[in-house]
Amino acid sequence: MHKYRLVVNPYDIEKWVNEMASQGWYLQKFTWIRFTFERGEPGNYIYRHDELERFGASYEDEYLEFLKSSGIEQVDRSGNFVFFRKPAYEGPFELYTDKKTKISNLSKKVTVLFWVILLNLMVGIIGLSGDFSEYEVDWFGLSLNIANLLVVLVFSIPLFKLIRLRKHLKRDLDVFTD
Amino acid sequence: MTQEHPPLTEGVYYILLALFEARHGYGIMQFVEEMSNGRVRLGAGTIYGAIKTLLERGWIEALDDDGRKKEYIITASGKKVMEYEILRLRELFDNGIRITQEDGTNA
Repeated sequence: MHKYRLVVNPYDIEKWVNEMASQGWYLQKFTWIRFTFERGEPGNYIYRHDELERFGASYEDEYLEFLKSSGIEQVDRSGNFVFFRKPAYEGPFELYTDKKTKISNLSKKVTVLFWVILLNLMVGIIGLSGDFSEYEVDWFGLSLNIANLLVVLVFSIPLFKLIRLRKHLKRDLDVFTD
Repeated sequence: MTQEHPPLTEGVYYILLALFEARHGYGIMQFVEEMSNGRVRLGAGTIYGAIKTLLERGWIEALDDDGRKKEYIITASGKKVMEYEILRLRELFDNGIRITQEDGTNA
């Protein structure tokens, strides 16, 4: 079975993939927005995602080998976005158990989203003001710029969610260390 | 904090302790879980990140690669760090016990 999802907030995607697994649909493959699931007994696996460093190829093989030797199966990879899984009977499965790494992972995602939004907002607004200044309305430009603003709308919610999550973790860090 | 030997995180503390004997990543994970009776379960990503940092600081070193799994062991400077940390923990522990016992209201 194939499903399509836009990966804006990877934590939402991970949650969704795990919900599918609990219903007996196991993620097998994914390429950007297309997710392929296979039927099985419900609740056998826990899925986690990770984003590999874009320019850290030397560490990459070592890291993936390290996870493999820890009994973690690599499901599939698309770009630097990877999904892993582990049998649920082996107990809880997290890749990152310390708040500092979680915070820095969130910060990377927040930065990317922030720039995507800012860029689209600027192009959208500058473009829109240009689309109407001519004698004739530029319909192609107009629809492109409306798309820019749609991207801003669609990406803003996940951005605020990630920022809120990060704030929460940072507040914990004032009292607790791990 | 402006201490000469700042506190270690629980994860780093247990990883260093695990490496008083040569272990690979998965070995560290199992050791820490057993040692803490299942309380501390370190994620593989967290352990890998910590190993990288500890190697850079020279507190641990990688043993000669015998093939697939890399093993690590604590260095002399890593042992020094552990010594200070244990002293710090003892101070925390002693002060904690002394004051809570004097207090007596939570006995």
